[in-house]
Amino acid sequence: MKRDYDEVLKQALTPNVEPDFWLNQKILRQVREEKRVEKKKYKRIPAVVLTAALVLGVGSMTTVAAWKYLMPNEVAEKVRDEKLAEAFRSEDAVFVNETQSYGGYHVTFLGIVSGEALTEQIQVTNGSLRADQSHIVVAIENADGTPMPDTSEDAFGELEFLVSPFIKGYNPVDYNAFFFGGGHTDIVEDGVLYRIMECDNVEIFADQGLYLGVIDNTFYQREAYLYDEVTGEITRNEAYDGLNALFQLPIDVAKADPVAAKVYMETLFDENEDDWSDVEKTTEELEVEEWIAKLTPENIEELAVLVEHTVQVLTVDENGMLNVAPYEVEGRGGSGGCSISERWAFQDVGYGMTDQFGYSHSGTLDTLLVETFTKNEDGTYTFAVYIPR
Amino acid sequence: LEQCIREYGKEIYSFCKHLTCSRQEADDLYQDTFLKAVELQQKIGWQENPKSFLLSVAVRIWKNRKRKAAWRNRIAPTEVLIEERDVEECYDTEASLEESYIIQEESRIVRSAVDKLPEKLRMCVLLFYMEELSIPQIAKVLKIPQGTVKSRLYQARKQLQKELEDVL
Repeated sequence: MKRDYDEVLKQALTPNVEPDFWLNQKILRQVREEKRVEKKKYKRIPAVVLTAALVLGVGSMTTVAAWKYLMPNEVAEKVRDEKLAEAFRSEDAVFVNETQSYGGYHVTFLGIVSGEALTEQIQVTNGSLRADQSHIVVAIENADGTPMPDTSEDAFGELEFLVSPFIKGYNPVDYNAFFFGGGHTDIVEDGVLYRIMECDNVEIFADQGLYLGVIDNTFYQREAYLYDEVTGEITRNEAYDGLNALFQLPIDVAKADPVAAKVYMETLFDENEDDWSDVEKTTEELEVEEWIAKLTPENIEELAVLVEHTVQVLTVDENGMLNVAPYEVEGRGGSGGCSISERWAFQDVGYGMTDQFGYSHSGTLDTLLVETFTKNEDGTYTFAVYIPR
Repeated sequence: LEQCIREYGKEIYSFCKHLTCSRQEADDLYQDTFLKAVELQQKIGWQENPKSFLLSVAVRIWKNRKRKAAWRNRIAPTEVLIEERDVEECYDTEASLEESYIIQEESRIVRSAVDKLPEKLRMCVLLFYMEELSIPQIAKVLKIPQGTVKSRLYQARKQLQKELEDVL
């Protein structure tokens, strides 16, 4: 009796080998060590007298919030980035000072500044400078008043946050800090974590509507925000269990550049796609793969020739299998005969030929055999072999 | 990262184990995969599908490592290529004791047959049956056309059927 090989393979290959506990610990420790070494570049400086009220004016709720925290330029000074501090002191900087509280944290969006070469720590990605950037500063503190661990403590390595701009009309699952070449620097002052987040300049999208999201995970969490496919609006998911703050990014619409935005999206998409090229194939193999990639049930007659004596009419056996009797194709060194799960072969189609072709070749087009299965309206199936024209 | 290890550690490690056919190589590949993933996280959107992303990192590291090993082998032929390792090392000896002897034995034979497949076919089989990725996802992970994935899966199935004909 024949068995459903799919089920047998799935059962036999169920992941059942656990990595060693200490191996996982080693990985986590190594990542924390690397983080800590990076943080040590920034020397701690005694807290300076707060000057926020002078810069922001007095009398509003936002001023109270800003007075409580370091100003964005002060945060930049703390990480010894005088250039960025200067940018945050300029008229181009936008101060927001809005606090939201979710998931046990108070998150305050302090400010944003964008432009060319505003920092002394320009990022390099794939060999190219990312000089035109947006720099965003947020403050995060525990809602229960307990201080955030210092960057030199082990507990700091366990903290996970993602600060990310989002663009209206682009699903944040795909278009977030990772897509925009995001990076960040953290410091902890008086129990408050300050994060400077930088990414490619998002001002060019100002006319589309910009958001800033903050979540308590290193990676984007699909459940944290809701994306409306029709309107492009992004909103907080109230049901999300954790931090999922969402601010409006107040950037002047006049700074938008729709043409540059379109080019940016296309270029970056290609950049991300090209990063994983496979260089192992021979020219002949590539030729075979290109031919196979073009093949569809609709164009098979045009691209290939039916080997008539291989045609067999089949029925599904009691195990859901289509059993092909042995056949031979002269001159190609090819011969076959197989069993295939009907469910696997026809998962996407009703009647007609499935695109689940079978291929057999020795790396060149003149050895290629294409095995096809067609579901007939009378409940039978037709097996046939084709060869490239 | 901790959450990723918790959620995907077993699946990624099992994949590494069957890909490398060596516990020691699997340890190295698994560790390098997570470290590289953390390093790459600013460039690549792995939040979209962390498991696929981790698997594609593992595949890439393994390919690079093998390429280097093959190159080293050409200039210093005494070195043994990784694919020549004894496939017995691929057998998993940690199957649950509650499973019946027959199922255990059958699974062991099937895994052994999978481990003997040429690496290109084995990768597709592991990603499809072990990691339960779809054909488009496998194509993305391996950076090959979907047609090639289907072709490799088909060839693998045929080889496995031939190999396991007497057993199953």
